[in-house]
Amino acid sequence: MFTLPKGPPVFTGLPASKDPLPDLLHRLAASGLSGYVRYSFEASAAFLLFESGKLISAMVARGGGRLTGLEALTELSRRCVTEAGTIDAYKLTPDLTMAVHGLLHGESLLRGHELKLIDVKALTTQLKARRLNGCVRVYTASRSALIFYKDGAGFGFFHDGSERIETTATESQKIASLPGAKIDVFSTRPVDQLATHDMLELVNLQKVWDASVRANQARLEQLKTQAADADRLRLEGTLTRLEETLKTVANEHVGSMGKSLVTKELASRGGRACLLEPAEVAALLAGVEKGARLVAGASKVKELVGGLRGEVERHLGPGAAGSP
Amino acid sequence: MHVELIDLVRVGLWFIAGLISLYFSLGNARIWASISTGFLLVFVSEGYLVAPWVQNPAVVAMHAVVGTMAALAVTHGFMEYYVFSRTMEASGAKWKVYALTLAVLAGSIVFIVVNPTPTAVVTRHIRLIENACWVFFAIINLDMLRKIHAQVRDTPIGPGFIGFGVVFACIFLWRGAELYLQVYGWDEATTAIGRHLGDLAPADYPFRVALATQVNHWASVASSVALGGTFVFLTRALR
Repeated sequence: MFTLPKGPPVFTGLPASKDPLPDLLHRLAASGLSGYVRYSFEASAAFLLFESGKLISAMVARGGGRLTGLEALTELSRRCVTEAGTIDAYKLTPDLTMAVHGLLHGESLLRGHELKLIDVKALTTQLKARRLNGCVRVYTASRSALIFYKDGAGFGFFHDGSERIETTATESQKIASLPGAKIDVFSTRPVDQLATHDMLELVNLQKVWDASVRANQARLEQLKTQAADADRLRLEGTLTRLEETLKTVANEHVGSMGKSLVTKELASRGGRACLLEPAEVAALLAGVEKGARLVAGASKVKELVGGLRGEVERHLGPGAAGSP
Repeated sequence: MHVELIDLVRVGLWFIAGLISLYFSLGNARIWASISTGFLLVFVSEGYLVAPWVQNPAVVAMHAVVGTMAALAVTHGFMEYYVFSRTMEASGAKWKVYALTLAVLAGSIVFIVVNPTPTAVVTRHIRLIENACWVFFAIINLDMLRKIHAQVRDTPIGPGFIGFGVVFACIFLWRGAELYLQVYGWDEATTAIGRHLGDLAPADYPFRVALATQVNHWASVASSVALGGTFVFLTRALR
Protein backbone atom coordinates (compact mmCIF):
# COMPACT_ATOMS: atom_id res chain seq x y z
CA MET A 1 0.00 0.00 0.00
CA PHE A 2 1.08 3.58 -0.50
CA THR A 3 3.04 5.44 2.09
CA LEU A 4 2.08 9.08 1.85
CA PRO A 5 3.44 12.00 3.80
CA LYS A 6 1.34 13.17 6.69
CA GLY A 7 0.75 16.84 7.19
CA PRO A 8 -1.50 18.37 9.84
CA PRO A 9 -4.61 16.16 10.06
CA VAL A 10 -8.02 17.63 9.16
CA PHE A 11 -9.60 14.54 10.65
CA THR A 12 -8.69 10.89 11.00
CA GLY A 13 -10.61 7.66 11.46
CA LEU A 14 -13.92 9.09 10.25
CA PRO A 15 -16.32 6.25 9.29
CA ALA A 16 -16.76 6.18 5.53
CA SER A 17 -20.49 5.75 5.97
CA LYS A 18 -20.86 8.86 8.14
CA ASP A 19 -21.21 11.43 5.36
CA PRO A 20 -22.24 10.96 1.76
CA LEU A 21 -19.18 11.32 -0.46
CA PRO A 22 -20.42 14.43 -2.35
CA ASP A 23 -21.25 16.25 0.88
CA LEU A 24 -17.85 15.56 2.41
CA LEU A 25 -15.85 16.48 -0.68
CA HIS A 26 -17.81 19.68 -1.25
CA ARG A 27 -17.31 20.61 2.39
CA LEU A 28 -13.55 20.04 2.13
CA ALA A 29 -13.46 21.99 -1.13
CA ALA A 30 -15.31 24.86 0.49
CA SER A 31 -12.71 24.91 3.25
CA GLY A 32 -10.00 25.46 0.61
CA LEU A 33 -8.13 22.28 1.49
CA SER A 34 -4.69 21.61 0.06
CA GLY A 35 -3.75 18.05 0.83
CA TYR A 36 -5.33 14.71 0.43
CA VAL A 37 -8.16 12.53 1.64
CA ARG A 38 -7.57 8.83 2.07
CA TYR A 39 -10.38 6.26 2.18
CA SER A 40 -9.21 2.96 3.63
CA PHE A 41 -11.25 -0.17 3.02
CA GLU A 42 -10.49 -3.76 3.84
CA ALA A 43 -8.79 -4.54 0.55
CA SER A 44 -8.55 -1.21 -1.18
CA ALA A 45 -7.78 2.46 -0.69
CA ALA A 46 -8.69 5.70 -2.41
CA PHE A 47 -6.73 8.93 -2.55
CA LEU A 48 -8.27 12.28 -3.40
CA LEU A 49 -5.87 15.18 -3.90
CA PHE A 50 -6.98 18.76 -3.23
CA GLU A 51 -5.17 21.93 -4.11
CA SER A 52 -6.62 25.18 -2.83
CA GLY A 53 -10.05 23.61 -2.60
CA LYS A 54 -9.91 22.02 -6.04
CA LEU A 55 -10.13 18.27 -6.44
CA ILE A 56 -7.22 17.71 -8.80
CA SER A 57 -7.08 13.91 -8.83
CA ALA A 58 -8.72 10.74 -7.61
CA MET A 59 -7.34 7.25 -7.48
CA VAL A 60 -8.58 3.93 -6.21
CA ALA A 61 -6.01 1.19 -5.70
CA ARG A 62 -6.90 -2.42 -5.16
CA GLY A 63 -4.35 -5.19 -5.29
CA GLY A 64 -2.16 -4.46 -8.29
CA GLY A 65 -4.78 -2.42 -10.17
CA ARG A 66 -5.74 1.20 -9.99
CA LEU A 67 -8.54 3.41 -11.30
CA THR A 68 -8.35 7.17 -11.80
CA GLY A 69 -10.61 10.09 -12.65
CA LEU A 70 -14.33 9.46 -13.08
CA GLU A 71 -13.83 5.70 -12.81
CA ALA A 72 -12.14 6.20 -9.46
CA LEU A 73 -14.92 8.44 -8.15
CA THR A 74 -17.53 5.93 -9.33
CA GLU A 75 -15.70 3.03 -7.71
CA LEU A 76 -15.16 5.03 -4.51
CA SER A 77 -18.89 5.88 -4.38
CA ARG A 78 -19.71 2.22 -4.82
CA ARG A 79 -17.34 1.16 -2.08
CA CYS A 80 -18.58 3.85 0.31
CA VAL A 81 -22.15 2.49 0.10
CA THR A 82 -21.21 -1.16 0.18
CA GLU A 83 -18.20 -1.44 2.50
CA ALA A 84 -17.12 -0.28 5.90
CA GLY A 85 -14.05 1.94 5.88
CA THR A 86 -12.37 4.94 7.42
CA ILE A 87 -11.42 8.37 6.11
CA ASP A 88 -8.31 10.40 6.95
CA ALA A 89 -7.59 13.87 5.64
CA TYR A 90 -4.26 15.70 5.87
CA LYS A 91 -3.21 19.17 4.91
CA LEU A 92 -0.14 19.50 2.72
CA THR A 93 1.71 22.43 1.23
CA PRO A 94 1.13 22.99 -2.51
CA ASP A 95 4.61 21.63 -3.24
CA LEU A 96 3.99 18.43 -1.26
CA THR A 97 0.62 18.08 -2.92
CA MET A 98 2.41 18.24 -6.25
CA ALA A 99 4.94 15.65 -5.06
CA VAL A 100 2.18 13.33 -3.89
CA HIS A 101 0.45 13.80 -7.23
CA GLY A 102 3.66 12.70 -8.85
CA LEU A 103 3.78 9.63 -6.66
CA LEU A 104 0.16 8.70 -7.39
CA HIS A 105 -0.32 9.82 -10.98
CA GLY A 106 3.03 10.96 -12.30
CA GLU A 107 5.05 9.65 -15.20
CA SER A 108 7.34 6.88 -14.14
CA LEU A 109 10.92 7.71 -15.13
CA LEU A 110 12.45 4.80 -13.25
CA ARG A 111 10.59 1.86 -11.88
CA GLY A 112 11.94 -0.89 -9.63
CA HIS A 113 15.59 -0.36 -10.44
CA GLU A 114 18.07 -1.74 -7.98
CA LEU A 115 19.94 1.08 -6.36
CA LYS A 116 23.27 -0.73 -6.34
CA LEU A 117 23.15 -0.84 -10.13
CA ILE A 118 22.53 2.89 -10.44
CA ASP A 119 24.94 5.76 -10.33
CA VAL A 120 23.08 7.86 -7.79
CA LYS A 121 25.23 10.91 -8.35
CA ALA A 122 24.54 10.84 -12.09
CA LEU A 123 20.83 10.34 -11.44
CA THR A 124 20.76 13.32 -9.08
CA THR A 125 22.46 15.46 -11.72
CA GLN A 126 19.99 14.26 -14.32
CA LEU A 127 16.97 15.07 -12.10
CA LYS A 128 18.34 18.50 -11.44
CA ALA A 129 18.96 19.03 -15.13
CA ARG A 130 15.39 18.18 -16.10
CA ARG A 131 14.10 20.26 -13.17
CA LEU A 132 12.12 17.34 -11.80
CA ASN A 133 8.81 18.04 -10.12
CA GLY A 134 7.70 14.93 -8.40
CA CYS A 135 8.92 12.25 -6.08
CA VAL A 136 11.62 9.65 -5.67
CA ARG A 137 10.79 6.51 -3.76
CA VAL A 138 13.47 4.34 -2.21
CA TYR A 139 12.33 1.08 -0.75
CA THR A 140 13.02 -2.46 0.29
CA ALA A 141 10.57 -5.22 1.08
CA SER A 142 10.01 -3.81 4.56
CA ARG A 143 10.99 -0.15 4.45
CA SER A 144 10.30 2.83 2.24
CA ALA A 145 11.23 6.50 2.04
CA LEU A 146 10.05 9.37 -0.14
CA ILE A 147 12.12 12.26 -1.40
CA PHE A 148 10.11 15.19 -2.75
CA TYR A 149 11.40 17.28 -5.63
CA LYS A 150 10.61 20.70 -6.96
CA ASP A 151 12.44 22.17 -9.92
CA GLY A 152 15.07 19.41 -9.66
CA ALA A 153 15.89 19.97 -5.98
CA GLY A 154 14.81 17.80 -3.05
CA PHE A 155 12.90 19.78 -0.48
CA GLY A 156 11.59 17.20 1.95
CA PHE A 157 11.88 13.63 3.14
CA PHE A 158 9.39 11.20 4.53
CA HIS A 159 9.74 7.57 5.55
CA ASP A 160 7.52 4.92 7.00
CA GLY A 161 7.15 5.50 10.70
CA SER A 162 7.66 9.26 10.59
CA GLU A 163 4.91 11.62 11.58
CA ARG A 164 6.07 14.71 9.74
CA ILE A 165 8.09 15.88 6.76
CA GLU A 166 11.80 15.87 7.51
CA THR A 167 14.44 18.17 6.14
CA THR A 168 17.39 15.76 6.35
CA ALA A 169 18.04 12.68 4.23
CA THR A 170 19.51 10.57 7.02
CA GLU A 171 16.75 7.95 7.22
CA SER A 172 16.31 7.89 3.47
CA GLN A 173 19.98 7.22 3.00
CA LYS A 174 19.81 4.39 5.54
CA ILE A 175 17.02 2.73 3.59
CA ALA A 176 18.87 3.30 0.33
CA SER A 177 21.87 1.49 1.74
CA LEU A 178 19.86 -1.58 2.76
CA PRO A 179 20.51 -4.75 0.73
CA GLY A 180 18.10 -5.08 -2.20
CA ALA A 181 16.97 -1.44 -2.06
CA LYS A 182 15.18 -0.23 -5.19
CA ILE A 183 14.24 3.12 -6.60
CA ASP A 184 11.26 4.64 -8.44
CA VAL A 185 11.24 8.12 -9.94
CA PHE A 186 7.95 9.86 -10.69
CA SER A 187 7.57 13.11 -12.53
CA THR A 188 4.59 15.44 -12.65
CA ARG A 189 3.69 18.95 -13.73
CA PRO A 190 4.18 22.04 -11.58
CA VAL A 191 1.45 22.71 -9.07
CA ASP A 192 0.00 25.70 -10.92
CA GLN A 193 -0.60 23.45 -13.94
CA LEU A 194 -2.14 20.73 -11.83
CA ALA A 195 -4.71 23.09 -10.35
CA THR A 196 -6.15 24.17 -13.68
CA HIS A 197 -9.18 21.89 -13.33
CA ASP A 198 -11.53 20.89 -10.52
CA MET A 199 -13.02 17.40 -10.79
CA LEU A 200 -15.89 18.46 -8.56
CA GLU A 201 -16.93 20.84 -11.34
CA LEU A 202 -16.28 18.41 -14.16
CA VAL A 203 -18.10 15.49 -12.60
CA ASN A 204 -21.65 15.50 -11.26
CA LEU A 205 -20.61 13.66 -8.16
CA GLN A 206 -24.13 13.76 -6.71
CA LYS A 207 -25.42 11.77 -9.70
CA VAL A 208 -22.57 9.31 -9.41
CA TRP A 209 -23.33 8.92 -5.72
CA ASP A 210 -27.08 8.57 -6.25
CA ALA A 211 -26.48 5.92 -8.90
CA SER A 212 -24.26 4.03 -6.47
CA VAL A 213 -26.88 4.28 -3.73
CA ARG A 214 -29.59 3.05 -6.09
CA ALA A 215 -27.42 0.22 -7.34
CA ASN A 216 -26.67 -0.76 -3.77
CA GLN A 217 -30.35 -0.64 -2.83
CA ALA A 218 -31.15 -2.80 -5.85
CA ARG A 219 -28.41 -5.20 -4.82
CA LEU A 220 -29.72 -5.31 -1.25
CA GLU A 221 -33.26 -5.86 -2.54
CA GLN A 222 -31.99 -8.65 -4.73
CA LEU A 223 -30.14 -10.17 -1.79
CA LYS A 224 -33.26 -9.81 0.32
CA THR A 225 -35.35 -11.45 -2.39
CA GLN A 226 -32.82 -14.24 -2.75
CA ALA A 227 -32.78 -14.69 1.02
CA ALA A 228 -36.58 -14.70 1.09
CA ASP A 229 -36.63 -17.24 -1.75
CA ALA A 230 -34.12 -19.39 0.09
CA ASP A 231 -36.19 -19.13 3.29
CA ARG A 232 -39.34 -19.96 1.39
CA LEU A 233 -37.71 -23.01 -0.20
CA ARG A 234 -36.34 -24.10 3.17
CA LEU A 235 -39.77 -23.63 4.75
CA GLU A 236 -41.48 -25.41 1.88
CA GLY A 237 -39.09 -28.32 2.38
CA THR A 238 -39.83 -28.37 6.10
CA LEU A 239 -43.59 -28.28 5.49
CA THR A 240 -43.36 -31.05 2.90
CA ARG A 241 -41.42 -33.24 5.29
CA LEU A 242 -43.87 -32.41 8.10
CA GLU A 243 -46.88 -33.30 5.94
CA GLU A 244 -45.36 -36.67 5.08
CA THR A 245 -44.49 -37.28 8.72
CA LEU A 246 -48.03 -36.43 9.87
CA LYS A 247 -49.47 -38.86 7.32
CA THR A 248 -47.06 -41.56 8.42
CA VAL A 249 -47.89 -41.04 12.11
CA ALA A 250 -51.64 -41.12 11.36
CA ASN A 251 -51.21 -44.26 9.29
CA GLU A 252 -49.27 -45.94 12.09
CA HIS A 253 -51.95 -45.17 14.68
CA VAL A 254 -55.27 -45.68 12.85
CA GLY A 255 -54.33 -47.07 9.44
CA SER A 256 -54.86 -45.61 6.01
CA MET A 257 -58.01 -43.80 7.19
CA GLY A 258 -55.75 -41.74 9.48
CA LYS A 259 -53.58 -40.78 6.53
CA SER A 260 -56.70 -39.88 4.53
CA LEU A 261 -57.99 -37.80 7.43
CA VAL A 262 -54.75 -35.78 7.55
CA THR A 263 -54.83 -35.33 3.77
CA LYS A 264 -58.44 -34.16 3.86
CA GLU A 265 -57.92 -31.78 6.79
CA LEU A 266 -54.88 -30.23 5.10
CA ALA A 267 -56.71 -29.87 1.79
CA SER A 268 -59.72 -28.23 3.43
CA ARG A 269 -57.38 -25.65 4.97
CA GLY A 270 -55.62 -24.69 1.76
CA GLY A 271 -52.70 -27.12 1.91
CA ARG A 272 -49.64 -27.61 4.05
CA ALA A 273 -49.05 -23.85 4.42
CA CYS A 274 -51.79 -23.86 7.07
CA LEU A 275 -49.35 -25.70 9.34
CA LEU A 276 -47.64 -22.37 9.94
CA GLU A 277 -50.73 -21.04 11.76
CA PRO A 278 -51.10 -22.48 15.27
CA ALA A 279 -54.87 -21.87 15.22
CA GLU A 280 -55.17 -23.77 11.93
CA VAL A 281 -53.06 -26.61 13.30
CA ALA A 282 -55.30 -26.81 16.37
CA ALA A 283 -58.37 -26.95 14.10
CA LEU A 284 -56.70 -29.57 11.92
CA LEU A 285 -55.91 -31.74 14.94
CA ALA A 286 -59.51 -31.37 16.13
CA GLY A 287 -60.77 -32.45 12.71
CA VAL A 288 -58.46 -35.47 12.62
CA GLU A 289 -59.51 -36.37 16.17
CA LYS A 290 -63.20 -36.17 15.26
CA GLY A 291 -62.76 -38.38 12.19
CA ALA A 292 -60.43 -40.82 13.95
CA ARG A 293 -63.07 -41.44 16.62
CA LEU A 294 -65.10 -43.18 13.92
CA VAL A 295 -62.41 -45.75 13.33
CA ALA A 296 -60.46 -46.06 16.58
CA GLY A 297 -60.85 -45.97 20.36
CA ALA A 298 -60.28 -42.96 22.60
CA SER A 299 -56.83 -44.04 23.77
CA LYS A 300 -55.64 -44.66 20.21
CA VAL A 301 -57.06 -41.32 19.10
CA LYS A 302 -55.38 -39.56 22.03
CA GLU A 303 -52.06 -41.17 21.12
CA LEU A 304 -52.57 -40.15 17.49
CA VAL A 305 -53.31 -36.50 18.29
CA GLY A 306 -50.40 -36.37 20.75
CA GLY A 307 -48.08 -37.83 18.11
CA LEU A 308 -49.24 -35.35 15.47
CA ARG A 309 -48.88 -32.43 17.88
CA GLY A 310 -45.37 -33.57 18.81
CA GLU A 311 -44.29 -33.78 15.16
CA VAL A 312 -45.63 -30.28 14.40
CA GLU A 313 -43.69 -28.84 17.35
CA ARG A 314 -40.56 -30.83 16.49
CA HIS A 315 -40.56 -29.44 12.94
CA LEU A 316 -41.82 -25.90 13.55
CA GLY A 317 -40.99 -25.20 17.18
CA PRO A 318 -42.83 -25.14 20.52
CA GLY A 319 -46.30 -23.62 20.39
CA ALA A 320 -46.65 -24.28 16.65
CA ALA A 321 -49.48 -26.74 17.28
CA GLY A 322 -51.66 -24.22 19.11
CA SER A 323 -53.31 -24.82 22.46
CA PRO A 324 -54.01 -28.49 23.29
CA MET B 1 -101.03 -66.19 16.72
CA HIS B 2 -98.81 -69.18 17.35
CA VAL B 3 -95.54 -68.25 19.11
CA GLU B 4 -92.83 -70.88 19.17
CA LEU B 5 -89.96 -71.15 21.62
CA ILE B 6 -87.48 -70.18 18.94
CA ASP B 7 -89.45 -66.98 18.39
CA LEU B 8 -89.13 -66.11 22.07
CA VAL B 9 -85.41 -66.87 21.97
CA ARG B 10 -85.07 -64.64 18.91
CA VAL B 11 -86.93 -61.77 20.58
CA GLY B 12 -84.82 -62.18 23.71
CA LEU B 13 -81.57 -62.14 21.73
CA TRP B 14 -82.66 -59.13 19.67
CA PHE B 15 -83.54 -57.39 22.94
CA ILE B 16 -79.99 -57.95 24.17
CA ALA B 17 -78.51 -56.93 20.79
CA GLY B 18 -80.73 -53.84 20.74
CA LEU B 19 -79.59 -52.81 24.23
CA ILE B 20 -75.93 -53.26 23.32
CA SER B 21 -76.56 -51.28 20.15
CA LEU B 22 -78.24 -48.45 22.08
CA TYR B 23 -75.48 -48.40 24.69
CA PHE B 24 -72.90 -48.24 21.90
CA SER B 25 -74.64 -45.38 20.11
CA LEU B 26 -74.83 -43.23 23.26
CA GLY B 27 -71.06 -42.95 23.61
CA ASN B 28 -70.15 -42.66 19.96
CA ALA B 29 -70.27 -40.38 16.94
CA ARG B 30 -73.34 -39.33 15.00
CA ILE B 31 -72.85 -41.74 12.11
CA TRP B 32 -73.12 -44.72 14.47
CA ALA B 33 -76.46 -43.36 15.78
CA SER B 34 -78.33 -44.24 12.55
CA ILE B 35 -76.88 -47.76 12.49
CA SER B 36 -77.44 -48.56 16.14
CA THR B 37 -80.90 -46.95 16.24
CA GLY B 38 -81.85 -49.03 13.22
CA PHE B 39 -80.79 -52.26 14.91
CA LEU B 40 -82.62 -51.24 18.09
CA LEU B 41 -85.75 -50.85 15.95
CA VAL B 42 -85.31 -54.47 14.80
CA PHE B 43 -85.94 -55.52 18.39
CA VAL B 44 -88.97 -53.21 18.56
CA SER B 45 -90.32 -54.73 15.34
CA GLU B 46 -89.97 -58.24 16.75
CA GLY B 47 -91.14 -57.38 20.24
CA TYR B 48 -94.84 -57.59 19.42
CA LEU B 49 -94.53 -61.37 19.62
CA VAL B 50 -94.22 -61.12 23.39
CA ALA B 51 -96.43 -58.08 23.84
CA PRO B 52 -99.74 -58.62 25.70
CA TRP B 53 -101.64 -56.95 22.90
CA VAL B 54 -100.16 -59.26 20.28
CA GLN B 55 -103.60 -59.98 18.87
CA ASN B 56 -104.27 -56.32 18.05
CA PRO B 57 -103.88 -56.06 14.24
CA ALA B 58 -102.96 -52.37 14.39
CA VAL B 59 -100.09 -53.14 16.78
CA VAL B 60 -98.92 -56.01 14.61
CA ALA B 61 -99.03 -53.77 11.55
CA MET B 62 -97.15 -51.06 13.42
CA HIS B 63 -94.37 -53.46 14.35
CA ALA B 64 -93.99 -54.44 10.71
CA VAL B 65 -93.78 -50.75 9.78
CA VAL B 66 -91.10 -50.28 12.44
CA GLY B 67 -89.22 -53.21 10.94
CA THR B 68 -89.22 -51.47 7.55
CA MET B 69 -88.00 -48.27 9.21
CA ALA B 70 -85.23 -50.27 10.85
CA ALA B 71 -84.03 -51.51 7.46
CA LEU B 72 -84.06 -47.94 6.13
CA ALA B 73 -82.25 -46.49 9.16
CA VAL B 74 -79.50 -49.12 9.15
CA THR B 75 -78.97 -48.78 5.40
CA HIS B 76 -78.87 -45.00 5.71
CA GLY B 77 -76.30 -45.30 8.49
CA PHE B 78 -74.02 -47.57 6.50
CA MET B 79 -74.39 -45.35 3.45
CA GLU B 80 -73.22 -42.39 5.55
CA TYR B 81 -70.31 -44.42 6.89
CA TYR B 82 -69.37 -45.38 3.36
CA VAL B 83 -69.42 -41.72 2.32
CA PHE B 84 -67.26 -40.91 5.35
CA SER B 85 -64.80 -43.66 4.51
CA ARG B 86 -64.34 -42.19 1.02
CA THR B 87 -64.49 -38.46 1.72
CA MET B 88 -63.65 -38.19 5.43
CA GLU B 89 -66.70 -35.93 5.71
CA ALA B 90 -69.07 -36.53 8.64
CA SER B 91 -71.77 -34.07 9.56
CA GLY B 92 -75.12 -33.85 11.35
CA ALA B 93 -76.19 -34.20 14.98
CA LYS B 94 -77.13 -37.27 16.95
CA TRP B 95 -80.28 -35.72 18.38
CA LYS B 96 -81.58 -35.18 14.84
CA VAL B 97 -81.34 -38.92 14.17
CA TYR B 98 -83.34 -39.73 17.30
CA ALA B 99 -85.83 -36.91 16.61
CA LEU B 100 -86.35 -37.98 13.00
CA THR B 101 -86.82 -41.60 14.04
CA LEU B 102 -89.47 -40.60 16.59
CA ALA B 103 -91.16 -38.35 14.04
CA VAL B 104 -91.36 -41.15 11.47
CA LEU B 105 -92.66 -43.50 14.17
CA ALA B 106 -95.33 -40.98 15.09
CA GLY B 107 -96.23 -40.52 11.45
CA SER B 108 -96.54 -44.28 11.00
CA ILE B 109 -98.82 -44.52 14.03
CA VAL B 110 -100.99 -41.75 12.60
CA PHE B 111 -101.10 -43.60 9.29
CA ILE B 112 -102.24 -46.81 10.98
CA VAL B 113 -104.78 -44.98 13.17
CA VAL B 114 -106.42 -42.88 10.45
CA ASN B 115 -106.85 -45.90 8.21
CA PRO B 116 -109.25 -48.79 8.78
CA THR B 117 -108.07 -51.37 11.28
CA PRO B 118 -105.72 -53.67 9.35
CA THR B 119 -107.12 -57.07 8.58
CA ALA B 120 -104.98 -60.20 8.71
CA VAL B 121 -104.45 -59.83 4.94
CA VAL B 122 -103.31 -56.20 5.28
CA THR B 123 -101.00 -57.11 8.16
CA ARG B 124 -99.49 -59.89 6.07
CA HIS B 125 -98.96 -57.48 3.18
CA ILE B 126 -97.16 -55.02 5.43
CA ARG B 127 -94.99 -57.82 6.83
CA LEU B 128 -94.26 -58.97 3.28
CA ILE B 129 -93.16 -55.46 2.33
CA GLU B 130 -90.95 -55.35 5.42
CA ASN B 131 -89.30 -58.62 4.45
CA ALA B 132 -88.83 -57.48 0.85
CA CYS B 133 -87.15 -54.30 2.09
CA TRP B 134 -84.86 -56.25 4.38
CA VAL B 135 -83.88 -58.71 1.65
CA PHE B 136 -82.95 -56.08 -0.88
CA PHE B 137 -81.33 -53.74 1.65
CA ALA B 138 -79.34 -56.68 3.00
CA ILE B 139 -77.88 -57.24 -0.47
CA ILE B 140 -77.13 -53.53 -0.87
CA ASN B 141 -75.60 -53.37 2.61
CA LEU B 142 -73.43 -56.42 1.98
CA ASP B 143 -71.94 -54.67 -1.06
CA MET B 144 -71.54 -51.41 0.88
CA LEU B 145 -69.88 -53.21 3.79
CA ARG B 146 -67.44 -54.83 1.38
CA LYS B 147 -66.48 -51.40 0.11
CA ILE B 148 -66.29 -49.88 3.59
CA HIS B 149 -64.12 -52.74 4.77
CA ALA B 150 -61.74 -52.16 1.87
CA GLN B 151 -61.27 -48.62 3.19
CA VAL B 152 -60.99 -49.36 6.91
CA ARG B 153 -59.50 -52.84 7.02
CA ASP B 154 -56.24 -51.61 8.61
CA THR B 155 -58.02 -49.59 11.31
CA PRO B 156 -58.86 -50.90 14.79
CA ILE B 157 -62.54 -51.36 13.86
CA GLY B 158 -61.89 -53.02 10.49
CA PRO B 159 -62.95 -56.51 11.69
CA GLY B 160 -66.23 -55.03 12.95
CA PHE B 161 -67.41 -54.61 9.39
CA ILE B 162 -66.84 -58.29 8.71
CA GLY B 163 -69.12 -58.85 11.71
CA PHE B 164 -71.75 -56.62 10.13
CA GLY B 165 -71.34 -58.61 6.93
CA VAL B 166 -72.17 -61.80 8.82
CA VAL B 167 -75.18 -60.03 10.37
CA PHE B 168 -76.56 -59.03 6.97
CA ALA B 169 -75.90 -62.44 5.48
CA CYS B 170 -77.99 -63.92 8.34
CA ILE B 171 -80.67 -61.23 7.91
CA PHE B 172 -80.81 -62.01 4.20
CA LEU B 173 -81.45 -65.68 4.99
CA TRP B 174 -83.88 -64.87 7.82
CA ARG B 175 -86.00 -62.39 5.90
CA GLY B 176 -85.47 -64.06 2.56
CA ALA B 177 -86.78 -67.37 3.86
CA GLU B 178 -89.85 -65.70 5.33
CA LEU B 179 -90.40 -63.72 2.12
CA TYR B 180 -90.14 -66.98 0.16
CA LEU B 181 -92.82 -68.58 2.35
CA GLN B 182 -95.03 -65.49 2.02
CA VAL B 183 -94.64 -65.20 -1.74
CA TYR B 184 -95.73 -68.80 -2.21
CA GLY B 185 -98.43 -68.57 0.47
CA TRP B 186 -96.78 -71.13 2.73
CA ASP B 187 -96.52 -68.83 5.69
CA GLU B 188 -98.51 -69.17 8.85
CA ALA B 189 -100.59 -66.09 8.14
CA THR B 190 -101.86 -67.48 4.83
CA THR B 191 -102.83 -70.70 6.58
CA ALA B 192 -104.63 -68.74 9.29
CA ILE B 193 -106.42 -66.52 6.78
CA GLY B 194 -107.41 -69.45 4.67
CA ARG B 195 -106.09 -70.55 1.36
CA HIS B 196 -106.99 -68.58 -1.72
CA LEU B 197 -107.65 -69.63 -5.20
CA GLY B 198 -104.37 -70.55 -6.80
CA ASP B 199 -102.40 -70.90 -3.58
CA LEU B 200 -99.97 -73.76 -3.43
CA ALA B 201 -100.59 -76.06 -0.45
CA PRO B 202 -97.55 -76.34 1.86
CA ALA B 203 -98.22 -79.99 2.31
CA ASP B 204 -97.33 -80.51 -1.35
CA TYR B 205 -93.84 -79.08 -0.78
CA PRO B 206 -92.92 -80.26 2.71
CA PHE B 207 -89.13 -80.09 2.28
CA ARG B 208 -89.05 -76.57 0.88
CA VAL B 209 -91.47 -75.28 3.50
CA ALA B 210 -89.57 -76.97 6.33
CA LEU B 211 -86.20 -75.76 5.05
CA ALA B 212 -87.39 -72.18 4.61
CA THR B 213 -89.01 -72.25 8.05
CA GLN B 214 -85.86 -73.55 9.71
CA VAL B 215 -83.67 -71.07 7.85
CA ASN B 216 -86.04 -68.32 8.92
CA HIS B 217 -85.84 -69.36 12.57
CA TRP B 218 -82.13 -70.03 12.90
CA ALA B 219 -80.92 -67.20 10.68
CA SER B 220 -82.93 -64.76 12.78
CA VAL B 221 -81.27 -66.09 15.91
CA ALA B 222 -77.83 -66.05 14.28
CA SER B 223 -78.26 -62.50 13.06
CA SER B 224 -79.11 -61.25 16.54
CA VAL B 225 -76.13 -63.08 18.03
CA ALA B 226 -73.80 -61.79 15.29
CA LEU B 227 -75.06 -58.26 15.79
CA GLY B 228 -74.64 -58.40 19.55
CA GLY B 229 -71.09 -59.74 19.12
CA THR B 230 -70.23 -57.12 16.54
CA PHE B 231 -71.35 -54.29 18.77
CA VAL B 232 -69.51 -55.74 21.74
CA PHE B 233 -66.35 -55.79 19.60
CA LEU B 234 -66.96 -52.24 18.38
CA THR B 235 -67.65 -51.00 21.90
CA ARG B 236 -64.30 -52.38 23.05
CA ALA B 237 -62.48 -51.09 19.96
CA LEU B 238 -63.86 -47.57 20.20
CA ARG B 239 -63.52 -46.96 23.94
